Amino acid sequence: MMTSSKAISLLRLLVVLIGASLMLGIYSTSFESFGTQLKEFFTTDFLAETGASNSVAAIYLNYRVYDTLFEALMLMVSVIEVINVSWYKERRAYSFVTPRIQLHQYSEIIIQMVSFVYPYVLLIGLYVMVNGHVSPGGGFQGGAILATALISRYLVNPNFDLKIDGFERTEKILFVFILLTPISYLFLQWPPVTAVLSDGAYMILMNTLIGLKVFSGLSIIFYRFVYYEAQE
Amino acid sequence: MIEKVLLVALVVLAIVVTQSNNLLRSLILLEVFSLLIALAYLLYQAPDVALAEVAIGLGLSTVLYLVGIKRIRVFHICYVFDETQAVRDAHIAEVEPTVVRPLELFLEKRENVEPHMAYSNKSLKDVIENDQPDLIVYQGAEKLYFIGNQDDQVYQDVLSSSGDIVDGSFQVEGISIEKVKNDDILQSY
Amino acid sequence: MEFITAETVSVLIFFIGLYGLMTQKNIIKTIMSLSIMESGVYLFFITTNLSENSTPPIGEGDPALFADPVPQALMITAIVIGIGVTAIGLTMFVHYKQKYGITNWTRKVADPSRTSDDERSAP
Repeated sequence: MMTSSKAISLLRLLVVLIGASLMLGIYSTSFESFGTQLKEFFTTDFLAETGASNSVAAIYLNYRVYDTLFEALMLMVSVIEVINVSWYKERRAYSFVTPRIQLHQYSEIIIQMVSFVYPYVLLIGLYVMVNGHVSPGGGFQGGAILATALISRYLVNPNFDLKIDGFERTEKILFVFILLTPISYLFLQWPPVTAVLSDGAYMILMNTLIGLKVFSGLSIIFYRFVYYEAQE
Repeated sequence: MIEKVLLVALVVLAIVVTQSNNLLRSLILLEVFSLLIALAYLLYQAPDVALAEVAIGLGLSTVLYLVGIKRIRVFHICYVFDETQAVRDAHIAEVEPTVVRPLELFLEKRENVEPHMAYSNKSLKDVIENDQPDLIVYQGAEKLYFIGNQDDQVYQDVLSSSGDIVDGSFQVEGISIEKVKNDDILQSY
Repeated sequence: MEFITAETVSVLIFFIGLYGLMTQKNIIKTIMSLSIMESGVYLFFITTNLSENSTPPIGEGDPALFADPVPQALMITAIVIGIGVTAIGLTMFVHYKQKYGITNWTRKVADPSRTSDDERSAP
């Protein structure tokens, strides 16, 4: 087993200590606070211009929508990487035993409570997702809550009979629509789309698309990882 | 007032998570850290970010870590030298390729546990009472002794395949820890 | 004790995470330290320009009293990317463990003869 020498461990400690004290010293003595021109530019009259009461939603869906598009792309890249690194053999489901018998080794309390609670979790997730432009929430948060509901299925029934082809196809189609909607509504201002959608409807549509895409992506990541870890 | 207490608790938790030896303890404390920092986001007037941290950091990240460390268990081994001389690097280097490396390989690949080696030259009773390892390797005059608990499954597997681990120049014998604690049978070996 | 503010604490958390990243021998501990470093950065960005009587930037109120909404929008994005990094790191760890059988950074390859995959099927 390689062990690091004393000099290198002392060097690491020195780097961290000198870096921390330098940052703290410079910050507390000679730091001027930021000006507020950017904040005033974004928060004066955002309700009339964008139709959203939540100024954070106005920023990431209208003023700076490029960041959201690239963030959706980043999620897709991590899904691609997880799929690529983890390969597994397809398991054929032998159904000689009924599934009820296999559940005896798992905790009965968790099974009953999860099956009672998960419709409410789905309801909360949909509520947070759709109401992103009026109250705290939005697409990313709602999508993550929906993914939590699907993960609880793994706690109850850890068999390998969930097909994730539907999720993969859904995610790709949703990404194309997420790209098309701001381009046609905000950048080009294409007349057929501008006549149909208003500002509020655009916000709700974008939040729903982002939420469903995040839900699909996180579910794919979780299930691929779990199936890959369980094989020998 | 509550803000200062929260910030100090965050720093203490961060130190314990990165410096602890127990993997499960640092995982659970990482979850508590994530919860407390979501509370801090809420105190600093950022409700969107707090909601995102709770939904993503608690619901997903913790379950991913728990599934990832399902098969790691730590197994403590102590190699006891003679009492007369101090333990030097030369002694470790001469015993390492024949006994220590194959034992660690066997434990990692077949048993899926993570071995932690320690070397000491105290007496056997000292080591058993103070350190409480899972397995002790003691080099006698001609034989090599593996000392462990009789009802430990990993120890039984190590004993039964000791012919594959150590090459033929050593003879291996297994003694249970109870016998070594109760009477000084190893003084005569 | 007016030097315990959020900015100084976030710098401390960042450097504690950096020290853990440099010195830990277990692979899972390094991924956890990376996650702690990112939390320090998020806390620092959110608490810039905060005064005593700020309000959350939602709804109708005096826009001069709002907390800054631009860093909040950016940090939401950053949190989602952080979990992407964690998932990728853990998948690589499981792959590495199944192929070579070791969970340490400092150990060389456990068994040099076992370096080929067997029976890979289509993803």
